[in-house]
Amino acid sequence: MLKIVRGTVFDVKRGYGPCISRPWYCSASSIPLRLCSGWKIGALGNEDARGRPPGPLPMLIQNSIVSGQLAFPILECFHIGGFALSIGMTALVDFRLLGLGLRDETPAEIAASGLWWSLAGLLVAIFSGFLIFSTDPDMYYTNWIFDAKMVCLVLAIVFNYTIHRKVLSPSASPAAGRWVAVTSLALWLSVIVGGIFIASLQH
Amino acid sequence: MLLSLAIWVQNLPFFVYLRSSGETFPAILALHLCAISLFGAMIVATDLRILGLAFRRSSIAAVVNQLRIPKRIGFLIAATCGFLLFCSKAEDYYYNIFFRIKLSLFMLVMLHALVFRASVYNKPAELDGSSGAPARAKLAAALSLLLWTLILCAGRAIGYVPIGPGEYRHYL
Repeated sequence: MLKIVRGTVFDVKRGYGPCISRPWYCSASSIPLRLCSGWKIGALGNEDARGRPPGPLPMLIQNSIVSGQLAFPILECFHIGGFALSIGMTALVDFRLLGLGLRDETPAEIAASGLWWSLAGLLVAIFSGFLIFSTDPDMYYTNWIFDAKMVCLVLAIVFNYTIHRKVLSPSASPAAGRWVAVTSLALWLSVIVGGIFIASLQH
Repeated sequence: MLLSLAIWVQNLPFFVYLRSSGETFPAILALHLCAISLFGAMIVATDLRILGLAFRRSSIAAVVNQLRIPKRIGFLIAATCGFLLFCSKAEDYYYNIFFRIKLSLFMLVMLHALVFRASVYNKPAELDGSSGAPARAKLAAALSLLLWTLILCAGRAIGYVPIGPGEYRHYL
């Protein structure tokens, strides 16, 4: 895949295609559109209006709803709200396993109370995650940090419903509970950290 | 005057390093978001308990009293990260409308805490009535949920206001 290099706005080279309409992220908004040299595009000839070549994923995933400008921030708000609820409820159980937070309850009780909220948050986060992916499939598909985040997410979910569940029973030792709590927190937090670093990977 | 203060702060060497480094800025942003997920959910849990929608096994007094200290620690972590992030690009945030909205919402949250402190948050044991919390407490919880959700949306929207030479005024 060709690397896209942003053309400088003071570099008036004719022959490079300007943007057909000004993208929302354009930082050269003080330059009139007709004078802007836009993005340097490669020699493929089949780049889109923003100068990006077609990627490996087919056009099937892209849809007009999530290509709008307001879609991404709104989806991200749902995404963040969903995972904050989900990870927070799990974190309440983990903090209790470490002896902090809601000390009047047993970990099993906290887990039972927060189960449906945690699941609902996870579903909202995953669904909005799919939609966010569909706004720019090729970028996420070729991003290794996104792959790492997905691996961490699957590990965290599997861990949550197997080992984490076992340690909630009253016959489990507190030391095992502490290790499981730390691992669970580390897995879920690495999902969040991976999510932030997705955007900072320079292609 | 505030603007010159912002420009001075963002030109301090540490903050110049912070905004130009490709790893440290996202790392602090990630810590900010981790603190929000872990401790923001405690705020949500407290409010949901007061509204009677979650954690019904425990009493309101237990939830409010035991989560108070973790919530404050989490707020401190999130606020410190937020302060560092703000200082690194202070001038951009000065102009950003959503940052101003977020700060105003924080003022409203503090006002909310002051207004409802005496009647709700300082006397959690009195909230455990037979038919749930009194109406004032439920109002406090609902307002708190609304305000914190709006803060989350405003915080996310901060990154989407284009900051460019000469154009930012249109977005105020």
